[in-house]
Amino acid sequence: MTTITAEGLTKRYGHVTAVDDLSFTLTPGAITGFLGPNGAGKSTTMQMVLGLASPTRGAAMIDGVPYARLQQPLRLVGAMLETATFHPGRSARDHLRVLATTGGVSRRRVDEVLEQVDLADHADRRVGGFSLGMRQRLALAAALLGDPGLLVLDEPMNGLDPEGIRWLRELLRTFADEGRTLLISSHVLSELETVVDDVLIIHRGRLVTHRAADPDVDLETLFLDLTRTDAPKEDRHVIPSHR
Amino acid sequence: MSSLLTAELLKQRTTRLVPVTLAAALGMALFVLSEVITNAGVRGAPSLGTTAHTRQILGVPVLATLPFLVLGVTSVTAEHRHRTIIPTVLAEPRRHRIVGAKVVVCAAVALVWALIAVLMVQAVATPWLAGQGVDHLANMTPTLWTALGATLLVLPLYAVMGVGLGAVLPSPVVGAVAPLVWLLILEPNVVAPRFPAIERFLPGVATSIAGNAPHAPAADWWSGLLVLVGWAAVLVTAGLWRTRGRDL
Repeated sequence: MTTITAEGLTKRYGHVTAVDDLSFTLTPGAITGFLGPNGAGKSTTMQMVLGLASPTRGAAMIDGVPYARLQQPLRLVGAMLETATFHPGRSARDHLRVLATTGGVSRRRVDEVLEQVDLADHADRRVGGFSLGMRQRLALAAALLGDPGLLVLDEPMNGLDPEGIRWLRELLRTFADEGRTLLISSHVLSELETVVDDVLIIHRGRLVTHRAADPDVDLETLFLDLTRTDAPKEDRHVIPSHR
Repeated sequence: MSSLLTAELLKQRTTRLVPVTLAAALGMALFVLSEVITNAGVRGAPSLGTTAHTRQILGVPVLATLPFLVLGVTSVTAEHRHRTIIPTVLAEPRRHRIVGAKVVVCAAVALVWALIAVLMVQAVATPWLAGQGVDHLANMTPTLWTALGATLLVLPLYAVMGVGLGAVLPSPVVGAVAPLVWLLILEPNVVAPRFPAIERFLPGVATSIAGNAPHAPAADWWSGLLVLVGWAAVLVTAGLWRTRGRDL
């Protein structure tokens, strides 16, 4: 099963340290909720994991290999980072065909993932006319294109209506049941806590905790306790994963 | 690499930018052709049937260098503007291969367009001039054949320079405006007049030399092409270097 390992991952922009000596290994086959306040360094961490940004120090590996050195990465990792990564004049089907061709994935998968995210009826419409929820589904379709064992999703529930959120929740659980590893960043803690197996919280670029989700501990309370600005420093210790 | 080339072609086919650019460039070429024919012999312009006039007709497609420069630039900057560069790099993390595919595809599109433009210009010019009793292709000389060959090579080189420039300057506005300001204003009005010793190494002047343009400095056509090849190599190398370490 595919997993992510970060070792001493650090990213500085000038004098600002966005991510500071972050180390973790995701539990293979589990859904890990990746949490942190705005500006905590979640997106930067995901970008470094996916080879979109270079670490100032440390490294992030996918099964021991940096993303940039993966052969046909779409078959191993599916990522959904931003909703607006489409050419507005291109149809949903063409967007996916371009990606499938670039990544060496069979074009048959294009129709399969469009069906999977319930966009088959809109496949030939220009993406510029899509709602936020439809863009979210298309971004998810792009992540699923290579049928990967690892999914990295940034705010996947953003823009989805209640029915869409329920659909996504079931989809994520199905993926985990199939043995895929998922890293999901979201601020919708009430939704996230219904699906996550593990929780990884960062604050000001540093790891606060990485632990198995506890059904007896409210995720929102845990998050606020560990990331509030007046929390004593000793509260922000790393709790080893229970697995 | 072939899958990347196919994907790049697919990108160009599935947006309106490329067909609009090609159609605009063709319209521009035909408009300039009509000017060249109707103004022949007027105010010092070459007369109908002369070698100089035939050279002007053959050189008409070269006037489309700027659209092809912009086409190359846009093939990169549009990816940054619409953020499609993110899924593209996720699908192919070896970024130099992405730039390489754009170089090959943009050059191929420009070459095909140049062939079509040359044929269309001749298809319009031949009967038009025949109606005035002129067979302009009857007096083709080696120099004129050279001008025709240079026309076919200059446009792909401009498309390649555009890809390199777009990779260096990924901002859509800066990437498109900067080369136009250089080629239309700075080079002809400031740099070339002040530094005549280096003018043949400037891209605009080198284009005139390669295309045997009437007012080009005296130099072999191939030296102009070599200068353009050099500019294309420098810009693509700089673009590759900038692309490699850029955070997205």
